Amino acid sequence: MNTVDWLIVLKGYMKGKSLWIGIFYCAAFFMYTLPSTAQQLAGTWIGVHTEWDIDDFCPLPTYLKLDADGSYTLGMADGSASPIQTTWAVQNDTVRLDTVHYAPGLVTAENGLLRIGKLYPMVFRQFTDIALDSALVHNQLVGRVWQSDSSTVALFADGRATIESRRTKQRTAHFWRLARFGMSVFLAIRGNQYNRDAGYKPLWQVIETKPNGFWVVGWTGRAVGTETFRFIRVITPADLAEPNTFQTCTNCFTRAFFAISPGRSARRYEMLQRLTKQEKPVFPGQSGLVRIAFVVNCRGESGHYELTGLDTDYCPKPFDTRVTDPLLTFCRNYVATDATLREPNRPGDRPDDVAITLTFRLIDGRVTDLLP
Amino acid sequence: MRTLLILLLLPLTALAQYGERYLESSAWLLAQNRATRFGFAYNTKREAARWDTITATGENYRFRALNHVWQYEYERAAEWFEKTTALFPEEHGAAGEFYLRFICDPIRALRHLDAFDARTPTFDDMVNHNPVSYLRGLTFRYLNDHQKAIEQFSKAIDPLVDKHGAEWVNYRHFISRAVSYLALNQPEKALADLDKANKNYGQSALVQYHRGRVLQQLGRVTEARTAFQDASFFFKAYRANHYEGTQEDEFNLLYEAQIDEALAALKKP
Repeated sequence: MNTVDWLIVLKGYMKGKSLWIGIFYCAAFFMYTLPSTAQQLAGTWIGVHTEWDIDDFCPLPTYLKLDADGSYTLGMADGSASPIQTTWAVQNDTVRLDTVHYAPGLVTAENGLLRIGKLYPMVFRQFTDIALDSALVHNQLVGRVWQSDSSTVALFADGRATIESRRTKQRTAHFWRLARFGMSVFLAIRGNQYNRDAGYKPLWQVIETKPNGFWVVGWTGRAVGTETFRFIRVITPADLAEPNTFQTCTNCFTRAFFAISPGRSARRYEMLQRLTKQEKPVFPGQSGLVRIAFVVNCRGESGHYELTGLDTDYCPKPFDTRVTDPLLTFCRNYVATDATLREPNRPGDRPDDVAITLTFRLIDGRVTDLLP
Repeated sequence: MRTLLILLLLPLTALAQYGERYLESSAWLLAQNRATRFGFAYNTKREAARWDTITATGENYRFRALNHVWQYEYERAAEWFEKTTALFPEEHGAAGEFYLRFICDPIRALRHLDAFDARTPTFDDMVNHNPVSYLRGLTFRYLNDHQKAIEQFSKAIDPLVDKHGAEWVNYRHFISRAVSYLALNQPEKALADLDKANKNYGQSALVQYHRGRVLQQLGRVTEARTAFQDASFFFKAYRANHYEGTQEDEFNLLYEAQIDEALAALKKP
């Protein structure tokens, strides 16, 4: 008999008694009888991120509520969607969440972190409810510039926000709002320079605010922990809620998942025709591969250009700029401006960001092929 | 106060639809994570790391190299192809094919295909779906050495024709040889090969396109036009059933623009 069956029996037994006493007894009983894995998993978990790749983490704004009575809730921590409510159970170390069964070891809870899966591990942190007055928090945060050890955050009164890396000085634009979860207040920063629908930045639970700073718990860029934001100054009309650099539309930009290549498509034929049809000057010794990687965002802006040269033995080689500059110009003016590259997979969807890598094979400075 | 309420509530309305989609995708990802292995993203660093934990075999090393190809890291791919063939010489054939197919490097391709062929000099070993001689023929053709290409193509085709008949030959092999015959101004031989190819697969845009070229060279313009029109028809039929960029033969590329250009050129006086 699993926990849900026990719940049904107990519900009958408790019938007619006070609802609150019933809930208390049920919770106490199940916490006592739950298997050890279930005891570790029971509770409320706030999404931290999904590990798309070894070095690519994407913020996870969902929460998981695994109640001791077997009820399961998956929702958005900022309340932007109706939660999914169903059941969960643990049997012989196999965990069932909704209808999904996880083999032993695929769902683990350790040191306050819940990890689900090994393919694209989803990481959640244990939630502790901290009662705060959201209006008060809003009044303290809005219209001010705050700084942590790694970034400077400006929270504009119109709902816009900018985040600037203190190391690279690169600033990106987003939208912010405060969200209530339980009695707690979360600072949710999401969207891009154009709109709110572009994924989230790490979700921060506010734990304390003072006039000279505020403290949050969440992903700090290195680990789950507490981050301090010191008050810097009040936002002035001179502050712009705009990026100062090329910004992808999605906050979860990962080259591997947004990559497109010419393959053996009609586009490759057109590019090759354009590159090889006209007679080009000869630059003896300029042979090997020139790889140009760049990103085109959903609005057609391009950036993050990287050029790598390799000789015919695949060793790094700096190429003459008279050879590489025309190729860079070709990428910027001909390839990056092609709107069909950003076309969404499904009609009606918004255009996507794309990561493009073009690798040209050259002999004496002349393009002889474009790798598929 | 009213402004504050609007600011707090308006985004919620706008967020709802996106939030629903986000939650749906999170639920989907939770379900995907029940798998311990689900390799749809071959071009990730995680996938590279996974290959490192697997038993060292020629095939595993080869896939490790391909992981770099798919990440456009050709310098590392080359390093791994070399490492693979040094440890597992039977991988020379695959390495040769991949140098030609993915990295457009006929010099290295030929070096590996020669090494593979040298392992059994009296036998034309297979590399994936093709005899090594055929791949060597393609490499010579890439280097514009059509005479040597024809020699190698014939080495792959003729014994099979003698032993089992022309109907047992991959129609793509006949096309490849025909392309080289055409390059050497031997349209009759090219046409003979393309007729055999057409017998083995009668719905090929590639066959019809090259037949058009051959017939054009022979001055049979009306037939050439019909062949190009057939090529255009078969090309569209093929495209309707395949993903964008999929080719009938990765070693004999054909683009719709080429067929259109050929037809347009015929119309000129």
